[in-house]
Amino acid sequence: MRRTLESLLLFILAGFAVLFLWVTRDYGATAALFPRVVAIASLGFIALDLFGQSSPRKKTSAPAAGAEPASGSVSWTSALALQAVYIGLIYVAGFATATLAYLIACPWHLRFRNWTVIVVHGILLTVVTVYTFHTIFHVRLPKGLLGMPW
Amino acid sequence: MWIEGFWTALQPLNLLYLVAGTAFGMVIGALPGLGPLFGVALMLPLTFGMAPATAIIFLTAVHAATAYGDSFASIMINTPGGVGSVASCWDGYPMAQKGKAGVAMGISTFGSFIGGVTGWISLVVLSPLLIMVAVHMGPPEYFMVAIMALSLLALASGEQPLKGLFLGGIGLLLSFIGRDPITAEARFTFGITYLEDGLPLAAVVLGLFALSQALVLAQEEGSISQFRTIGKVWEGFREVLKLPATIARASVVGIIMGVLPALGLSSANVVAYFVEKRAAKDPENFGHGDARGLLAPEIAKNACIVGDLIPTFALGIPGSSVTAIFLAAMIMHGLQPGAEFFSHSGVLPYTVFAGILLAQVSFFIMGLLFARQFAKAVLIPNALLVPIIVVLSFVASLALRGNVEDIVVTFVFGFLGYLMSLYRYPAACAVLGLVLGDLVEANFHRSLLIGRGSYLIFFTRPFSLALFVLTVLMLAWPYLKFRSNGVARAR
Repeated sequence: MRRTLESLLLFILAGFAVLFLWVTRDYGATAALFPRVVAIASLGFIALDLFGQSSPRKKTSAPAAGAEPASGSVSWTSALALQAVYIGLIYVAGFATATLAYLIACPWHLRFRNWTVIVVHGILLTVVTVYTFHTIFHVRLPKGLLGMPW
Repeated sequence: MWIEGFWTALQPLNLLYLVAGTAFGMVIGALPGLGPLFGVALMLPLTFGMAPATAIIFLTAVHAATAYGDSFASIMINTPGGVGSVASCWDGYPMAQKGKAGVAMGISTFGSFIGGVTGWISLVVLSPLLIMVAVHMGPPEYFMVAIMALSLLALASGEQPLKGLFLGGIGLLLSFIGRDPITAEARFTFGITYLEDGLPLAAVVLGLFALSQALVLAQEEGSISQFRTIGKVWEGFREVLKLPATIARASVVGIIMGVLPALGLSSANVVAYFVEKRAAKDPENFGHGDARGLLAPEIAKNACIVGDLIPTFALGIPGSSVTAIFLAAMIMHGLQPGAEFFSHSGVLPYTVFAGILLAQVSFFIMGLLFARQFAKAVLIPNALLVPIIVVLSFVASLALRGNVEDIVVTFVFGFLGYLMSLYRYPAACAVLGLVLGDLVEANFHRSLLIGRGSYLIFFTRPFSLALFVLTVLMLAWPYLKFRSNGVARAR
């Protein structure tokens, strides 16, 4: 799993550099020159790094301390999925409703079971955030497809 | 003139705005991703009805306090409040984890104050000299300084500099999305209209640092601090007083970086951290909660922020996007930046300079009063802190441009940032690349124009060549050291 994730990251980043290099073919000499230099240099650096890792003296990069899931805690994939649902809800139900729902669902998902604290924390933070950003900072908060006030 | 300037700055109305600006700046700075640019831009319209001196003092207070408040998020939740606080995470957060959040806040408060005061002294005393150096730097030198900053960050941020350089390159590539700075041609948009304005920096930073950190914390039970204590703010002050050499080094770095237009804030904290680590006899302690690793970037950041005002006031050239707003504010209030500002404005320049110093004192006092309260954030259970970080990240990325799509950008970079943190990839390098991209590319092309298409332009100018040699030496140093240690061990 660890190896797969690091490979996925490298694939995304290196793929990104290759894609940019490929797209530069469509641009004029000036617009393409520096991106081309940077893309080639980036790929060169990652090739050197991979070559260094494959040498017998060096090990692959170890995962960061603390990044490994602790026993009894939730997985990062489910936390990420909950964030995705939150964004989807912002599009549908507007910022305030989605935020309140997320602030109640997230602590519960993280196995916090004091409902009084969860509800008070959720309502208070939603009200403060919406008031501060909507009323004081005049930020246009998404109303969602349902046309909620915020 | 100076006494008159201080007297005017100390008028009750000016003091009231000074305190209001400081309080607002500290709160904005403490929110992840919202830095001085957001704070100063948001407050600019409020200054319309103010007297010129009051307006500049108010904006200066917001500027200084936002920069100081930026470090709160770096120390408490390992998320830079802005690009100027990236290096503050590296030793600040480990201190908070060790139950020393209060001490770290003390170091940050005192260090920021010292940085602000040294920056102010440089503004007053050294500005003519420093400007003379800065105006002699051309595009090749700026290009080389930016490349050096990227290389330094790659070296400073981990044991794997090649990954740092690779990510710096990826950051530069990300910065190319949008309009070409020379031809204004739309590039790398892949037919998506949203990308024509480029990737929003704040949304990317929030994703890479704040959202990824939320994912890390979601997996850990309890709270950030592994102990139920946070230490005392005063202990941080004592730590600072024990490190005069660090203070001197970081101040010099901050002042020099501040006076270089466009490079300052994003690079000063990183360069200061690197310089300090290099100067230390025990560099292995850096990254594990070493006071020097937090003090150096804090001093450099605040010295740089004040130093950043030197080219703005003296030459009318803004050193950064924040000081560009200062420039706009000055023009709005009928002030002409440049030499005329000093020769034709009577006591006003002295009032403004006095206000800048008072802004440092103001955030220092408010920091003394509230730093400990902010430090208690590390005791909040992760189950409640994680949703707070996520909500603030999303609303902050939304706040800057009002685009819902910015939240999606934050989410995507949150995923990438989490993978990077899992394998110790220095995400800060990608951010610096993204910040410096336009500057690097524009100066690259300008240099080639000056050199009539020849790349020799980078090596035929003495200062540019010196910077290039310095960068290569610094990049090669870890390998040379490794080899020499190997030879010594073999012997």
